[in-house]
Amino acid sequence: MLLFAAQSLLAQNSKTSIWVAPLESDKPSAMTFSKEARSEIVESFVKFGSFSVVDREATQLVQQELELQKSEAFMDGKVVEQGKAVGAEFIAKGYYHSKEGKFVLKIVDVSTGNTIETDEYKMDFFAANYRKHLRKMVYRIANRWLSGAKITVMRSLEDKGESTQRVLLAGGSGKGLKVGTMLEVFIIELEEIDGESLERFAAIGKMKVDRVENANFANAKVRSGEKEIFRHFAANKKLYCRIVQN
Amino acid sequence: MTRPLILILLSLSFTTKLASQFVQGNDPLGRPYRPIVGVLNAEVAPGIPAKVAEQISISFTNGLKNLGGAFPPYEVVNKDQLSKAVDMLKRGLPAQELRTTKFWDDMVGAQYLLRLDINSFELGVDEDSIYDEKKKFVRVDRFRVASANLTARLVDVATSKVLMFNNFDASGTTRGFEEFKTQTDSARAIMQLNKQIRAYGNGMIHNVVAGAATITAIHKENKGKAEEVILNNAPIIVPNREDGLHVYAVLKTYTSNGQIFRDAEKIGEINKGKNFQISLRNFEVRKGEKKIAEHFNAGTTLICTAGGFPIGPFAPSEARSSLALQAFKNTAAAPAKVQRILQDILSENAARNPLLLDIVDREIYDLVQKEREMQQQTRSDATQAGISFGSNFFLDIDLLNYSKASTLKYKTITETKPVAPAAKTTSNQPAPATKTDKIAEPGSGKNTKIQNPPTKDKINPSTSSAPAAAPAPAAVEKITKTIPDKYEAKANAKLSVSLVSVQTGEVVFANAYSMSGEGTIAYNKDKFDRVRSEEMAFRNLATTVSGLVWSDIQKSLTPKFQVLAVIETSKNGAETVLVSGGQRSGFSDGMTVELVEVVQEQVDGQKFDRDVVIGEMKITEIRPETSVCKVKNGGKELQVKLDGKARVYCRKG
Repeated sequence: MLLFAAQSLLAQNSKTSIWVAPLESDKPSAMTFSKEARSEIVESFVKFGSFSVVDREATQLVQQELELQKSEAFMDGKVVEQGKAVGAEFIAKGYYHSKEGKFVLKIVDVSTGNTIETDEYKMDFFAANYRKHLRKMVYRIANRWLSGAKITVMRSLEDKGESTQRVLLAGGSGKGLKVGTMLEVFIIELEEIDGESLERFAAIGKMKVDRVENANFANAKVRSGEKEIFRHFAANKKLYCRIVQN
Repeated sequence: MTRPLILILLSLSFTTKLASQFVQGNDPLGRPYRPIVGVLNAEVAPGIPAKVAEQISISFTNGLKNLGGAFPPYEVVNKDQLSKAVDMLKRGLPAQELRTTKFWDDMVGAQYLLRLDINSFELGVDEDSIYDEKKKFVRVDRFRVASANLTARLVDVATSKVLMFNNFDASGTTRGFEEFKTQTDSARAIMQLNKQIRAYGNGMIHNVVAGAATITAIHKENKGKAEEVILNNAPIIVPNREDGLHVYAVLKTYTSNGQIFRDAEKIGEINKGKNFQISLRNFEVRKGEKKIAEHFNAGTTLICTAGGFPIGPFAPSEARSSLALQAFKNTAAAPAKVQRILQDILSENAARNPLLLDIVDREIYDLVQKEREMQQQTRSDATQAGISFGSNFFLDIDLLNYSKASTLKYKTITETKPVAPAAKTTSNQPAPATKTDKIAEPGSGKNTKIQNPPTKDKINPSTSSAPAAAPAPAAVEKITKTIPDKYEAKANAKLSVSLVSVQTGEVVFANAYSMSGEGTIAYNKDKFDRVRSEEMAFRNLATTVSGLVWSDIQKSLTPKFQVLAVIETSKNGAETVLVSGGQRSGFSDGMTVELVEVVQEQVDGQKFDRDVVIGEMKITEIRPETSVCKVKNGGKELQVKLDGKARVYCRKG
């Protein structure tokens, strides 16, 4: 049985879903580049590998095809699963300020409406290399965004005495992990400050990704804190990690 | 009004009867052996005269019907005529005698629909420089040119899969001198164009719809070797005596998640041979005599085909994902013809490159559905209903930018011509006899024959004082001219390509392509020269870009192939295994693949698939729908996992 990984993952996807909205500008003439610029942003997010970029332009075609597949002609044929459309968790919004020659890219959280990331770059849309700058912007945002995210360290895959050598991470390419990504392992401790309980990420070791299984899982080799990590696992304490160098 | 309809019905009745004579049973998947190709009405671009379009359409259909003079392995029926007849029958309009025909009993539904798109048609004047041997001069011959750009697509009715998509140019010219002025000249050029179109149609779909046959008996056997075998469908699939058929043994059929995989191996070859009798359908075994006998006696199904093992439409399954081709976006507002060229070339490459993805058609889907409905109403033996391929992906292509430029390039030529004498000579010596000399034209690389002055009065001025005994070389004058040579065109385009999942609406692949292409057309004083050079440039661009697009899309898809069975075991566990990917899975001989077990892990109450790598294998044999792999490591674990009914796949590392 041949399965497309892309498809099989779609149902159980840990990737962050994002929709790139049509770009806006205060100068209508700059908008001739907007489709091209937007396609570059979409392409950059897709190529980064950690995001599910949803398409809203082909929605009508997609809907038509889904309707068609409900018909009798497909009864014993081959159909995709209905009702599995992915909703966007975030929206990427781009605005070109022509007077300042500045392009601003914002990431907005759909559930709260808050802007969670922003990046800007002085660029001329008429310059030949503007696409390269757009791509760099997307990568900067994506790296910042993902490096803040905590990834669950699930369990030990290999122990040596009372020290953990390799672990299983609940995050793969969907969380921006690659072979060689450096991670910081931490536990969450609660600190009481002025009567308020705040989370503190207490680092206990370092790891390096040595295998990315798929979008959801990866393996990492422990570089420091092997004994500490072993002890925490033995005590059934929750361990997390975050990207320090990708 | 009734008479032509009666004729249509009678001719259809004959056609369908003829077809039914050859339907001598069904193929392994229940389809008639002699496939029926329904030709739809041609889609004609605006501005093309209806009469010309009709002629083109008829020529192409005639070409399809004739396989190099041989009887083709498929039946061609005109769907327009057929649907008119069906409508008529449904309305109960025809005369009583027509209602009583056995039309319904004889009718066979089309397995394939073919549509010809006539994208462009031009009637222009072209010219050639021809050297006239008799008159010893270069003459310019103008003639009429009729050219057309056409797209032929063949769609499988059952699945709506595109089996063939072919965009091609055809042209025809008048041949006589200065044949470009009259209407008759135009008609002749169109006639020649139609001849070429007919030639293109001839054999275009043969390999796609050749059908298959099975070996029903061993006719002659000698010492355990099959010398002659009998096929159930012999004369239909092999038009010529020398054409061989491949024999495939279906070793085993695997059902995995409701889908069928046939593990088939090529074991021999057969051909018609000297003793061939149509009534007997006896074929000579050319290769694999022993294996054919062994497998036949063991009850193995032996399938014979002219081409490869019938995969594709014969194996409707979820083994492959499918992609729908849609009308592309044109943000650049490029001319409709340019958009059409890009779309057609991309579609053609997609249909020709059937690794990993099947292409399904949605442009003529309504017509496909109409054919299915008609088949349900008739007593047709076709088994077409309900097995359509849904599209997994859409290809979203936008032509963002398009520009073209062409320049007329000039060349400098040096012509030689005899020089007229400056003055009359006073010599009494006779002039050299008239003769033809060969003089090389500098720079042109050509030899041009010139004639010496034929008159006695003329002598070469440079030799006027030379002794009379020595023959004087001919006097020539060299003239340098700058003349138009060719149109050089360059086309630039930028396009964005996205592969969108139908199930989720996600963009699975996205890339932008900035390309340029060049085209050169010799200057012929024709009004289409410049346009043709620009089109050629864009066509070259589109060909390059479509190659890149398909290669990138295929790289972006990471399929997994299920381990179907263990073939050999050793003390190290599984040694050789059979996996589900075959000839169109992107495997190559010797390729290393990872063995992965798919397990589920629970993270914060949610279940996720995890691919655990358990070993490595090497592809050693690629069969039509399956492949044989040698386990490099992880054989023991693989055996344990398979015994425990685990989900084990292989994937490219």
